[in-house]
Amino acid sequence: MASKAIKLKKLNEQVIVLTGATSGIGLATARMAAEAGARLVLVAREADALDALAHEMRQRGVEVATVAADVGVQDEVAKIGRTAVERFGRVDTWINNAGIGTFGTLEEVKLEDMQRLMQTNLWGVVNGSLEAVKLFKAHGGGALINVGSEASDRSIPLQGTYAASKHAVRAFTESLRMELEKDKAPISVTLIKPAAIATPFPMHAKNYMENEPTLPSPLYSPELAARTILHAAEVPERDLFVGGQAKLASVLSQILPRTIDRFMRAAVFKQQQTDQPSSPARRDALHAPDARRELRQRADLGKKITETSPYTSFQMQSTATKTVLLGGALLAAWALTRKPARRVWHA
Amino acid sequence: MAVQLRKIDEQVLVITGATSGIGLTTARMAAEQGAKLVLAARNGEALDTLASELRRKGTQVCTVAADVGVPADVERIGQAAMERFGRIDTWINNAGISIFGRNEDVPVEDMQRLFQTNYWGVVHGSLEAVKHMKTRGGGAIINLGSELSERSVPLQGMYAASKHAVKAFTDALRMELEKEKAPLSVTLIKPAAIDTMFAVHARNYMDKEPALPPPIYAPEIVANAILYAAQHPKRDVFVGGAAKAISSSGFAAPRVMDKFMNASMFKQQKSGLPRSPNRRDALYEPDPRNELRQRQGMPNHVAESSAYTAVTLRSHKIAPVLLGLGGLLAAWTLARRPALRKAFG
Repeated sequence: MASKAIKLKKLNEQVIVLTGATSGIGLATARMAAEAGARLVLVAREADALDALAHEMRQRGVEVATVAADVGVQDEVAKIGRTAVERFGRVDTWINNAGIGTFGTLEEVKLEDMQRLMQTNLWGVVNGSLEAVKLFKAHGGGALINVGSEASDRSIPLQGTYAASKHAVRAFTESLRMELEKDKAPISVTLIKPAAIATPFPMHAKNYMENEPTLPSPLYSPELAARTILHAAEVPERDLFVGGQAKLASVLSQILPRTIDRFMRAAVFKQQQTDQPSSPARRDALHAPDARRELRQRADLGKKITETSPYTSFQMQSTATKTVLLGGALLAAWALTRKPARRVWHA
Repeated sequence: MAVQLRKIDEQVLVITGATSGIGLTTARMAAEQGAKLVLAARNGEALDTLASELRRKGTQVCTVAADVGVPADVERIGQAAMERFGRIDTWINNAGISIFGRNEDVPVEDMQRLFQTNYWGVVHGSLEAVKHMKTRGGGAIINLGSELSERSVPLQGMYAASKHAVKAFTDALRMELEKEKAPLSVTLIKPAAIDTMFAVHARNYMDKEPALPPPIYAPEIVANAILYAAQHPKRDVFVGGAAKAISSSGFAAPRVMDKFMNASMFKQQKSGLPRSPNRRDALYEPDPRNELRQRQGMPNHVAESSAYTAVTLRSHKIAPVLLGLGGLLAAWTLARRPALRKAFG
């Protein structure tokens, strides 16, 4: 639920800026937005991958501009804004999606790796958000969509810095939203909080564990995340979870924090490692993109991938529909607790 | 938690941000209770003055002029403690700073400076503490979060972001240390608005001088909670009932909280005074004119006690007891329904 007074355009009338566009959730979102007829400004660090993606899309008649940029660098983010305006005259939606991880304990991960992660995940979002707001205010409004995580609401062992970055993104996004609402700016600000998504995230992350990283089940598809993001580009939403698991984790951590601590201790250390030893020659995308692994939307993590999520869809219904659905559910629950009327058998 | 912690009068405590506000209040309280202290802050002179004051009362103190945002400085704090006292029982990451202003008006460099102190300072301190404490009998690591660790606020967006990040870091560290069965207690303290030099030391980008929204609590309540957690393992502590209220309401009704904060927090975070042209803040450097003050001295009422904190500090078992009672009540009610039906047809 968010301010319905903000009007957002249909995707096929929009210019959308998308960071981290060459992999995972960003790539899925870019392709889905292209199919919906949006004009795109795609951002990633690796120019070759961007060119290949743009080429793929232009063959289908999509209007695309690309900007090779590191979102952690404010000047490079300013370049994204300039390119968008020069090419398309305005921006309607800005999606801060670029993100990276590290797997390892807080004691073992090197400080410079932690800082690099924060530079991309937090400062990239700060830079992108402030640039987006500047452009939106000059051109009549729009939608700012920041990709947080289930780890925005609940920390995770072996991904402590990642969780810290996503917690910070949540707080920054929340304060920016309030300030823009006070201004009565026609800007929708959404925080997306995905559960574990089957992307190359574990492969791109820097790894300090003995074994290759993976993500705990349930795993959801990047297309589900993309649909959720693009919904927020057309309909003002405050925040959206991707995957019912993310909502569940959020609620349980609030009401039973110690229980979740214990659960994570018992399960999540194991669930974030495969049984494949990690190669010493392993390459990751923390400090620089990994050119060998670009343009992959999904990753096969050897686990089932859930394509749909009733909870995720439920969030995106209108208030009226949600009321009817919830009302119906409550009614059903009430009806089930009624004892059946006594049947009188006549002999 | 099976972690054993010593009584304060047998402890060596490290306190960062020791020359002002909560840190200063905690240092003085700990000294009074007989602890040995390792006090860190950026201003060496203020530290020396404080150390003299405490030594006159018989306290054993060592001081380290250090910027917690610099890893090498934090290593020196750890080294000084080990050289002087041979061990560390409690490490309190308290140093913190704020900026008041809309996100659009605050330069990103200032935001990064804030984050360097408030988040990276806690990271450096916590990891240095673990290094010295994990294999030498354990102890307590106490990190200062905030009510803004759980719910953000306008005009202090990066402060809230830094305190959210501190919470996530602290929670992950706790789980990782518990997995190793390390003899360390890891506590997150989450104060509501406290009467300290916070609003004076903060950098300001608003048109009025910064203020804190009521209710405002005394720094002694926080110091008390910190020293309690230094002796009794606690996961986290809200200081001031308002902190808990903000957190719970923020979680249960975020849109309502957004609207409430927009109606109140813009006014309440601004004092009546226009922004001072000669304002000095302590974001990049300490402000020597404003050292060694526990409180700013708020014009509005400051609560000297918190019933909420007093009750929750000491009661590990209250929540399960209440839940248990609730469960019993529910079970009893359900069990009685058929009887009711039989009685009334």
